[in-house]
Amino acid sequence: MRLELGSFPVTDVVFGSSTGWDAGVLRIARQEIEGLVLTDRNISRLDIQIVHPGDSARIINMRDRIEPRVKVKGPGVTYPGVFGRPVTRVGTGVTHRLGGMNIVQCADPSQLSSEEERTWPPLRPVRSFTDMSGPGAITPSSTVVNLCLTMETRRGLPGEDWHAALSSATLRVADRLAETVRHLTPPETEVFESDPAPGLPRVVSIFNLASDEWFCGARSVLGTSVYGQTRLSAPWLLSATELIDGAVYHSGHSGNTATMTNNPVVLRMARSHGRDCDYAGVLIQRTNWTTQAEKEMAADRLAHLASSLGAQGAVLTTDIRGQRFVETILGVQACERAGIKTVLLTPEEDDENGGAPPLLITASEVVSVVSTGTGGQELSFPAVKVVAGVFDPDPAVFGPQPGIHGQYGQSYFNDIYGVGRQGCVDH
Amino acid sequence: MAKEIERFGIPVAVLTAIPMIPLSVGASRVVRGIRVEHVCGDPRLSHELDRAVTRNIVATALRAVQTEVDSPTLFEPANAPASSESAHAS
Repeated sequence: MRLELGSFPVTDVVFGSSTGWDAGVLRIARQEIEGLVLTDRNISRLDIQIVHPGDSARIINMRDRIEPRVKVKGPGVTYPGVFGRPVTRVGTGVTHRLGGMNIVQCADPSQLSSEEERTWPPLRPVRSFTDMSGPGAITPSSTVVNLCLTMETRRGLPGEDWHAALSSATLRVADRLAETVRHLTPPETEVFESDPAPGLPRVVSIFNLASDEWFCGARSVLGTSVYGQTRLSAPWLLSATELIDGAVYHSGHSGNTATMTNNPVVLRMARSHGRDCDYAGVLIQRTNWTTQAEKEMAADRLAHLASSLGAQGAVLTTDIRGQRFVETILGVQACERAGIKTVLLTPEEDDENGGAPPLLITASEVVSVVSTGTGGQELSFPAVKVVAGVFDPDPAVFGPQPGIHGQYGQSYFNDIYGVGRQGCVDH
Repeated sequence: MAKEIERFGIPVAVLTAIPMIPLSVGASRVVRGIRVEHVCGDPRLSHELDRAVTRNIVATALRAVQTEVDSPTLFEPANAPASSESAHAS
């Protein structure tokens, strides 16, 4: 498989009379974007804000962030399978992307009329707030220009429909913006090949990604999906290029889609393919099985699949926290027992000054661990001039915010994939 | 919490669907329940069988707190009635 990824750098996003990309500036016609969002009559209100790296700005109510990408050649569409998009397998041909910008989907879950749904993890924002400058500028969001779409729906929409309306609108805007560069020649092109590279160490990456099936049901649209499927399943095998084309859609509390299309683990391993390693692909392990026997079964299937692919080494990531971490550790254990050298890349729990273990559980097979920190940012966050992601911000949201101590259920930035910007601050 | 209570000399049985977690943090008596969503029962069963499942798990827990242990120990509810879930978990 071969994918050419053409990048069109975006250094600024500005409002203009028409929509187009030229020499690093993405111009957007506000009315056109408003039309694309509000064409769904479930969406009653929209605000568009642009915030830049270094701005005295804070984004709240972030539900997802996504990078505009379009298939120029080859089968399928980007972000396949979600909200009625074709499920055709992606990952070959040519894809164009607008790099250096994200479309940020913002909505306040208090719009939901069901009190119960407001507390559902997949309907909660990614994190409480994201700063673009100061000590909070340690997330990937603070490195890109963010086009924030703040939306409100009509009252009484069930959570599933709320999520679908907001996400579909975000995708309509992403598609429109990506379309501006479909026929242009990209300033930068990167080629990803995935033909086997015999003679080099055969490696896989393994991502544990929670499914919310256990309380949302098998057909829910909520939470992380692979080709639109949110349910618990046997492990998926994807090529790196499928992730680059958006096969993993990752929204809500568990993360965001841009993290999967620009995944540092996938990109690093795909770039090393044929040079330092023979990268067999990404195994997606869906987690939140709810008996230990099921978790053991899932771990065994994972190791079996990795072995069948001839893997000698694996980099395994977690979605940490609670019972899901059991699947993470069982996965490492099963792979190591199958003779696959496995590195666990994971955030840590708060060690309570040495009084608590840094990982919820472990096993003797867990011998190689890379930590990405506890997710905290202890420094306080200064006041900001701009707040995006909300219609009538409470004045307190502009004010200084206390530092956040990373611990169970509380983090500023839960760095699952080792983006690494936090490491500079913490250690 | 179980460990803190036991420090005062009161034996504790932890009922859980995922025994690995309490066992790994050193809880002394762990009883395997059915599933994360319904640890002590099984809503897919008839009322009678569900009750039997619950009684069985609670009885196992009572047996556990009367049993001396010197390291983290898993107690499996025995003689489970015909439940696909409990068969699965055993």
